[in-house]
Amino acid sequence: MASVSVRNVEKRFGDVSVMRGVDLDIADGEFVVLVGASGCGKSTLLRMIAGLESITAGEIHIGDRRVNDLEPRERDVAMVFQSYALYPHLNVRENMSFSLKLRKRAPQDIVTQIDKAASVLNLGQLLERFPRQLSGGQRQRVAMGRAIVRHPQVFLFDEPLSNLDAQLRIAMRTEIRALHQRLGATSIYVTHDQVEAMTMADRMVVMNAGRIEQVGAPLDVYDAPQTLYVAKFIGAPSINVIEGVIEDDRAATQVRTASGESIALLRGPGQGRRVSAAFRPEHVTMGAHGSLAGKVAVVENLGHETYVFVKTVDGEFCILINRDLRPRVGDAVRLIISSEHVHLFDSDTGLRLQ
Amino acid sequence: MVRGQRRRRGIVDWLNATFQHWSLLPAVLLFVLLTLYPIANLLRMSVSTIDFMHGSEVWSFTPGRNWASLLSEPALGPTVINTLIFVVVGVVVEVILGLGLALLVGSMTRGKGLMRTLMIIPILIPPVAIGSMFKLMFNHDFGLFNQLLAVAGIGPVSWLGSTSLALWSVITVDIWHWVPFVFLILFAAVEGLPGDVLEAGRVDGATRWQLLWRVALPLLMPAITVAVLFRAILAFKAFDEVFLLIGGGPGTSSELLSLHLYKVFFEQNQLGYGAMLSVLTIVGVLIALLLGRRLAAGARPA
Repeated sequence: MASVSVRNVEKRFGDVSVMRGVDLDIADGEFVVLVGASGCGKSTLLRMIAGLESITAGEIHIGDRRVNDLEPRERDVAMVFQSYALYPHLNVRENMSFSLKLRKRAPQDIVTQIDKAASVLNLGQLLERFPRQLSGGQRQRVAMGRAIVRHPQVFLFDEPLSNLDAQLRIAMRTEIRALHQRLGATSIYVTHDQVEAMTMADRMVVMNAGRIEQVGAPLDVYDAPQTLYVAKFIGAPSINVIEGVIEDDRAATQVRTASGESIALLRGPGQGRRVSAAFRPEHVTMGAHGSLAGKVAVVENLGHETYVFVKTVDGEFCILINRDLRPRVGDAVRLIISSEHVHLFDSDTGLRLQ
Repeated sequence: MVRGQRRRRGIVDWLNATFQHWSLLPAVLLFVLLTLYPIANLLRMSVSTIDFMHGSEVWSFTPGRNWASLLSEPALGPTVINTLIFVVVGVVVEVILGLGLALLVGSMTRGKGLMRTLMIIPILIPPVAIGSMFKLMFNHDFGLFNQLLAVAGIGPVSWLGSTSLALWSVITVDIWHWVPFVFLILFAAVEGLPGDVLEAGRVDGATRWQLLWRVALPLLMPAITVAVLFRAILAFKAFDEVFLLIGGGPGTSSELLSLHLYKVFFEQNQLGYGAMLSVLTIVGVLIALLLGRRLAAGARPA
C-alpha cells in the first residue's frame, strides 16, 4: 500500500491545455473518488497516475517514488477498465495469473492467489471459461480479480460499473466498498455518477474543465459546496438555483429576485451584490405564506419520497415533500425556504460567499 | 375470415420459399458450367492420352501410361522440392516482414494513410513489368544489384545464371511482390487490436516484447492464418515470376510446379500427363490447406 501525491500536474495536447495546476494528496489506504461530467479530465488524471498518459508538467509520487518517467509496469498499480479489457484469448484463470506469471512468481504461489481471489469474488465455477462466455457482471468480477491477485500499491478504477445494468451496479458498488474495507488498499475511482461518488468515497474530488473544484468527504461537499458547479453537480434531484440581488438593511437580509420576490437570509455578503442563491429540495416546504409563489407542475412519487416541481415566475423548483400531502398538478402554493440552508454564490465567479 | 387469411399466408409462404429456391438456379448453373465441368474434364484428361491427328483430337483411356510417365520423370523430384522451398521460405519471410511493417506503421502517429498507399504499389504493377524490371536489376553486367555490390568492392554475382542462386533470386522477387499484400491484411488486424486490452497488459507488467508475444500475436493469429493460407495457395501456383525471369533455369534449378506443368502441356504436348500433374497439385494444395487449418485451430483456444 502507498500514498499518492499529485503536484501541480498539467496536461497539454499540442497547444490545447486540458488540465492545469492539479494538486491532490491521497492517504495510504484511502478510497478516493474522482467525479465530474464527461470531458472534465478525471479519466486523464487517472491514466496519468497509471502511466498510460504522459504528464506535461508537475509531479506524481506513489509512495516515496517519483513516477513521472516510469512505465506503467514499473509503477506497481492495478487498473480496472470500463470495458473490462480482459485478454480475449485467455481463460479466467489465465487472465488473473497473467501479471503473476510475468513477475515469475512460483506456480504454487500463483495457484494460491487465484484460488483466494476466486473465492472472494465468487469466481470458482468460472475459472476455465473464456471472457466471451461470461456475462457483463462476471467479466467485471474477473477484471477485479485480475487486479487484486497482484496486491498492488494502488488500485485504479476507470468507471468500472458504467457498462452494468442498474441493479448490478448497485450490488457491485457495495461489493467494491466491502472489498476495499477488507483489503485496505489505496484506491482511486473515477466515475461520472455522483451517486457512486457519494456512496463509495472516503473523500471525493469534484473536477470540472481540467481543474479540481472541491475535495472533501461526501457529506461535507454536499453540505457546503464551494462552487456553484459543485452545488449543481452533487445531489439528485439537482439543487435549486435562483438569481438575485442582496438587500441588506437593518430590518432584514434577503435576496431580491428578478420578479420582485424575496428570500430571507441569516446574513448577507453585502448590499447590492449579485448572487446565485441555491437550496436543496429537502430544505423547502410548501405553505400559505412562503417567499415564492407558484403552481404545481409535476408530482413524482418514488415510493419512499415524493418530489414536487413548482413553476414560478423565477423558474421551476424541486421540493421534497411528505407523501401524505398529496398535492395535485395546478395547485397554487408558496415555497418556504429554510434560511440557514441557502447557499450563496457570486453570480460572476461561481464561488461560494460567506 | 381468419382461416382464409391463414390459408393465403400459407400460399404466400410457399411461393416465397419456392421462389427463393429457384432463384438460386442461375448461380448453380454457372457454377456447374464454369467450375464443375472443367474439373470433371480435367479428371478425365488425367487418365487419358490425347493425340492430335488430322486436325482433331483423339482420346484414349490409358491411366497406367500417365503414372508410368510420372515415375520415370527425373526432373519432377527437384521441381517439387523447389516448389516447397519457394512456398515455405517465401511465405514465412513475407509474413514476418509483413507483420513487422504492419506493427511499425500501426505505431506511427501520422502518415499511416500514406504508408498504406505506398505499400499497395507493388501489387498494382503488372507481373510482366515486374519480371522485366527485376531481370534488368539482376543483370550480370549492368544490373543495379551488381553495380551496388561493385561500389562495395564485391561481385559481380551471377544472380540468375548460377544454379545455386537462381531459385533464391526468384524467391526475393516474390517476397518483394507480395509483402505488401500480407502487410495490408495484417495492418487492418493491427489497427483493430483492442487498445484497452493492450493497456491492461502494460499495467499488468508486460514489457513491449511480452505484450507483442503474449497479447498482440495471439489476437492477430486469425489474420495471420488468413494471410498464410492465401499466400501459400498463391505461391504453390506461382508461375509469372520464375517464367519471366529465367524460365526455370539454369537447367531446371529454379523450376516450379506451375512452370513444369506449362512445359508438359505446351512444349511437350502431353495433355493427359499434364492433367494428371495438375490434379496431383490440386490434391497436394488441398492437403496442405487442411493441415494448415488444423494447425491454426490447434493454436487457438477452443
